[in-house]
Amino acid sequence: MKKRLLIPLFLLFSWAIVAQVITVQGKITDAKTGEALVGASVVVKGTTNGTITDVEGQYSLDKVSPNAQLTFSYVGYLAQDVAVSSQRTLNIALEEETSTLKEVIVVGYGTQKKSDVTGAVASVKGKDIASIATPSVQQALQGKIAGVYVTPESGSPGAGAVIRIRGTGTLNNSNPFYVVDGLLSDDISFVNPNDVESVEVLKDASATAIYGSRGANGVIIVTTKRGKSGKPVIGLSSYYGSQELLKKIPLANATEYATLRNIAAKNFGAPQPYPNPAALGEGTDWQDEIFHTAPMQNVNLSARGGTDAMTYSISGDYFKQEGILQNGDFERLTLRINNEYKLSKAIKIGHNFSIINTKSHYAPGVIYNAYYAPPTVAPIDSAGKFGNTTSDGSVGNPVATRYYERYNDGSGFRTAGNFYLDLNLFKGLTYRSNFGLDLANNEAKRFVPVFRVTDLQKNDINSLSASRSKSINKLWENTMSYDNTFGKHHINLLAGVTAQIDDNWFLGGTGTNLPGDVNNIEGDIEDLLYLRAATQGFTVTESSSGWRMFSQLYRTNYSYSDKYLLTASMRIDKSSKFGKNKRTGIFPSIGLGWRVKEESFLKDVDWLSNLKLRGSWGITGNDKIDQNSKSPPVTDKLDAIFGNSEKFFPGATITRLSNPNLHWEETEQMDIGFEAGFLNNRLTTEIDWYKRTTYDILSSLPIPGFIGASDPPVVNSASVFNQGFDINLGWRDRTKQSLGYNVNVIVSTVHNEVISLGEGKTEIFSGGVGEGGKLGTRTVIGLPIGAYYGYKVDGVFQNTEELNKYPKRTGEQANKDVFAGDLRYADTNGDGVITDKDRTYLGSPIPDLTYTLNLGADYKGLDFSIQILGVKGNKVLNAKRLARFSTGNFEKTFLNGWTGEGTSNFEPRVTIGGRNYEVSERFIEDGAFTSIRNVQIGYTLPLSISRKLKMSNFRLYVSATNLKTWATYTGYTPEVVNGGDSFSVGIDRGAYPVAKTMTIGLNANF
Amino acid sequence: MKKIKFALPLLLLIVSSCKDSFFEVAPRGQLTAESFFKTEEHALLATNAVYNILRNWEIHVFSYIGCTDILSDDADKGSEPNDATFLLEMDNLLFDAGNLAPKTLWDGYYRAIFRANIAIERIPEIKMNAALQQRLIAEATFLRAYFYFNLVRWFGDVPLVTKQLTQDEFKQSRAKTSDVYAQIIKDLKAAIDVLPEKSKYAPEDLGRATKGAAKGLLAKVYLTQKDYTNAEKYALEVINSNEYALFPDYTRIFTTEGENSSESVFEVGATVTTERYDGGSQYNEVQGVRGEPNLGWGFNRPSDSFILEFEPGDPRRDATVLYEGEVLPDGSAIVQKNPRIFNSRFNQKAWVPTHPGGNGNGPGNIRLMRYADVLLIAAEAANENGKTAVALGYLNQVRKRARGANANILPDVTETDKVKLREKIWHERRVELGLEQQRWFDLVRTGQAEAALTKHGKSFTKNKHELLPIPQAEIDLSAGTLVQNPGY
Repeated sequence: MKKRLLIPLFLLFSWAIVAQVITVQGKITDAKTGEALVGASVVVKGTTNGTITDVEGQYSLDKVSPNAQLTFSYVGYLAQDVAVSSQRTLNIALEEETSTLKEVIVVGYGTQKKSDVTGAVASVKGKDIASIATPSVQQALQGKIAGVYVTPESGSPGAGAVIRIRGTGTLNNSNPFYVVDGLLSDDISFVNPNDVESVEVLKDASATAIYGSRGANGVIIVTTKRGKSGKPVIGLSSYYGSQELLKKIPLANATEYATLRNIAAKNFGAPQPYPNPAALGEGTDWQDEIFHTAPMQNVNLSARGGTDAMTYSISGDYFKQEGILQNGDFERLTLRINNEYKLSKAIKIGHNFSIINTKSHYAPGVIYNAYYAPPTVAPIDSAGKFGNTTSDGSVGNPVATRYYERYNDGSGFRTAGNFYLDLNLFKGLTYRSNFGLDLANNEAKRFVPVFRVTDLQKNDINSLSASRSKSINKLWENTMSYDNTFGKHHINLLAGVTAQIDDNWFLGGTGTNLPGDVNNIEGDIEDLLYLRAATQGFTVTESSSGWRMFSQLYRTNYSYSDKYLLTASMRIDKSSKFGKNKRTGIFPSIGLGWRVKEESFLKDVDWLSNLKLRGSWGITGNDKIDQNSKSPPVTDKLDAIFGNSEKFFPGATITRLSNPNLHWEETEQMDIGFEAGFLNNRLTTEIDWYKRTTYDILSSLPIPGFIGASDPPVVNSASVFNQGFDINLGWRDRTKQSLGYNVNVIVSTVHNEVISLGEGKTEIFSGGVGEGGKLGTRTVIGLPIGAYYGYKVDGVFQNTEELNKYPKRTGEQANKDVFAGDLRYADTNGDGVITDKDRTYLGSPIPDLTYTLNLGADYKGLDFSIQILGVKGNKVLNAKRLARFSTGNFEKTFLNGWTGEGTSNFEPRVTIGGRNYEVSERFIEDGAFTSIRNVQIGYTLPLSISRKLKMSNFRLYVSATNLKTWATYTGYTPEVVNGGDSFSVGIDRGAYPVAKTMTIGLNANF
Repeated sequence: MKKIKFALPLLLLIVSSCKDSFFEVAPRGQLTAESFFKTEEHALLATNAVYNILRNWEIHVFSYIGCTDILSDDADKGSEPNDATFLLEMDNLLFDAGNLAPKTLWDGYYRAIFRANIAIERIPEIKMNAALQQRLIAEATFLRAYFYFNLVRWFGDVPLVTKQLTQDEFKQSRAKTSDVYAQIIKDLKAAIDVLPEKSKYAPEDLGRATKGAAKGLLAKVYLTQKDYTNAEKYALEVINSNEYALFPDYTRIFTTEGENSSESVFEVGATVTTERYDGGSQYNEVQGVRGEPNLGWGFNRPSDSFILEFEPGDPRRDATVLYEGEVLPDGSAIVQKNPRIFNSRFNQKAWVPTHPGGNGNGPGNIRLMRYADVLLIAAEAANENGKTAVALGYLNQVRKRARGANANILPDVTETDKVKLREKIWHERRVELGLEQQRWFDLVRTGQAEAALTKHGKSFTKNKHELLPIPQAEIDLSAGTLVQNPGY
């Protein structure tokens, strides 16, 4: 209030002493869109003479000296100083602030200016998250950050993604840790991408050590949108998309299949099953029968605003996705309320709170069956019955399975969020108490009716299973922070204690032989599907588990003269997952930074807008093991039957091994990085070198069968390091013709190497493939984790002469056990016979290079962006081709199989199992790919039009996800993920394929 | 207000400091390893858990059939031609170290041994009724011997694990076959000393290991080792205990009324009730009629060679083989021709009547040792020991029962030439114990495997196929301590 009075007084005063003055007027616009900026300020530099623009962006400023300088500024835009030079009209286009210098980013337990951060922290804005049509925040992160490798978990509706930050850290669980508005969680499926304000990825130890034992694989901090005081902003965004199968696997058609079966039968000495293959024609491609084009849609409505006393943000979101695999869908309703209340000058309370309701219909898992089912069988035969696929092979008719086993539903209700109290005790000293709560309730019901397609594909007795589960995760954090500046010294101190209690419960039952019309699944049977209706075969189980953690945390941020930066932190975690003497883990870190640009010798170098060097070291941990790992409970329900009355005699015993010496897994990480900006930050670059060594990895390593334990025990085992560069290079500019464009290249390299395997161990076999429990990976010192291991293939035996000449497997006799047309495995140790010792390293599942190219452009309301990404250097083990429980359909590649001398020197003669199905180069394929992950074209209405429609912003767009992939891999996608098991991460056992999605959408603000 | 402002954070900091008890999170609703083996009930639970595994898929079901009858000349794989090709590899002797069947058995039997070892090691810690304690340990010891006996016959030298291994004992090499047998004999003798005779058990405990079962198994162990003196000795002890008698009607032994009969020396109890389905096994299902009536998967098809082995009119053939067009033993249905299987046949001994829970939960007890088996062991051992008359006596007891009331078939054997009588006893074992998973072990034990399988049209390699390969995964995981069997 006072200022408003003062300004005219000053104006009066200045007019009185300056004789010659002019009036300057003009319009201030956004350089990118040409839109008028309302309320932008114009001030004569070094004075308080100023004004602001009106609703048209016009200003008029009196009493300006002709040789004065005017400063034009607007929140969120780069300020400009312009010399008046007697001009009466100055139209100014302001650039939106893109400089990272003043950017504030979220770090653990606080925020920091990006320029003051000593760690490797990357930030992604909410609008870049929401622009990808996906229900999962993780999927939206793909290709956005150097060193963050995102792979879609699967294409199934509502699926998340697997994230690896800087390579595979451990053999156990390499998933990063998530923090949503201060709530600590391993599962962020409750966050809807539209609600995200920003995502920060903490990559190095200086940044993650504050999360101690859970920081080893990186930390992802999600901040949701909050209200700002001012007029309410109503937002509406919506999209509708259509998904289809990215790619079909080329499978043999009926004629080809019958031909291959005949050859295989001949090679097996069995009678010819198909007398006339040519008559069978194309037959059925079962992939066409199970996949379809499926819609997905999203609507999001939000209101944000506030007063000085409170801010609010309310959003509602509806998402629905049908799966490309028929009979599966996912529906999610989210409500989020983020409010903050100022009780007094010193006291604030607030909450970030969301309620999520989900519903799922799980599609019957028929992908495997569709791959193996014989193409000679029609889905529905001429009599209108389901075709008999078990007549040749052993897989059920996928269409029948889909029909009969479709009743498999789940629903969930989850409340997740935090409440906090901020007390400003005195200048700079703040106390915060944060209470987080994550409460989830899930229900599931599955019913299989009585049916009979064939002798093998049938269900004799209908069965119903139902379950309820609940989990409660409570977190209470109390922190004290102090922030102050003493001359050139700036300090920020943080200390706190946190406690976390996590519990979950499960109650489930099954029953069979439900009476009545329940088997008629065409009818309305939902009301009949309750366990009380079952008459037989009851089981019931209730179980519960939980864990506890208590931590202390400390951090100092110190900077001198804004040039020299220091961050030191320490967290002490105590976890219930470890025995009494191993319970405590201490996780320190230190980070140093030097803002070189601020030094006097660079201050005046115009072309260099930013230069910062930083380095950090720290130790973080990993405790992602089961609460009961140190001492598994007794296995019960192992009943015996005795006597002629055949009574159940209860049985229970120890079937697993305990390990009371389990202790923390620790990761030591070093990071050296520099950030630079050139030419007014149009060119920016950030390069980090890192080395991460993980010791005493917690892992359930496979153990020999003769030990007899039912599950391998969790042990502290190997050590592994990851080393590489994260490189981010960007160029952003706008031409005089107001064409804006940007180019961003992200490159990450990873070198993954095992350095020790625990005492006395020289190798770790894992990655079970095929049906005999063949192991596809062998982890040894000096090679990557989960490296493929098997036979090299020298070729195919062409004739008896070659059979006699080249080494064969132990015991193999030419034309008795091995024939012309069989694979010729390489005798790598040169002992003249092929044994298991001849197996060798066949490649790494971990890409050594991942790259992303983001291109964007905008021109007068039109915008365009494209993201191209890819990986190089990794291999995929195509286990689908390797596993043959019965004949099953063949991939078309089998047609290239050896049929006589000179026909093939790689693909062997067609057999169904046995020697040609060892893990070998035959099944190892290149995992490299390049993909157009996303293309988007949008148009934003000019403000003049949207304002007439009472809108402040209106944008329409079309986008395509997974538009095109270039890969030599023959499976659905080379982006194979096995639930994060580092030992078998690249083994394709046939997952739900990822979809190609075309989307049309709109964003509007009122 | 100001006081509260400052007091609140201090209070919260104090409240959030915490005690050790905060971290004590015990498994819920489950016994913990620390609290187990404290009471008599725990001893019973742990012993019953060893019996429990006898019904498992890995122990007595799919791969078990595959590595006994299907591997031998008694049966073909069965089912539809392309189902479970890994068992076709067993049938045709084309398997290698990557085959699923040996792997399943290896893992399963060592899990069983783990359970037995736990019981043997830990039950002594418990303060309880001493007699019961000794008996339970003896039961587990008997079961351990049984598991090792199968393992050593399949794989030859195997790691000999007789206690729960600690982390630093995870490297084990293969113990010599003779050492494994020494342990088996030691275990069985220890069990014989303690276990009660069958009649001393309460009726509801039938099926627990008995003195007779341990002696019978020991007789078979000695027979396998060609120690005919001891084989005869222990077989005779079983016979002379008067605890057992042949069931009068051969055709009914494998029906429900034949369960735990007078002839039963050792069998695995299985049952399915409307309340509980988890007391069954899939032993019946995998061998059940495939087609109409649909009772199972149709594996273990009686071979031509097996059928031709029967003497004319031997009723045991029809009691063992279920043909197309035959009426089921309970008269409920006729087996229809299955158009997708050429000349289908099934193992009638695995047949069970309609029961709750569907085919996957077979209620049929698995007969592991019958009194007839003991008699034939006695006959074979006696013959080898030169006691022809004794041998003929036991052999003819078996034939007499098979003959039933029909005097025109299966005449008493009168052969006195040792070699010829040996052949006759082997023949008798084949037809009497057909499709009871004895044949493969008998073929290898008697050195007939090569001849029999060659005759059966399989490409048998001597000094290779007598033993199964050690699973490749097991060799891989053993850190170089396990060496493969010859020829694989």
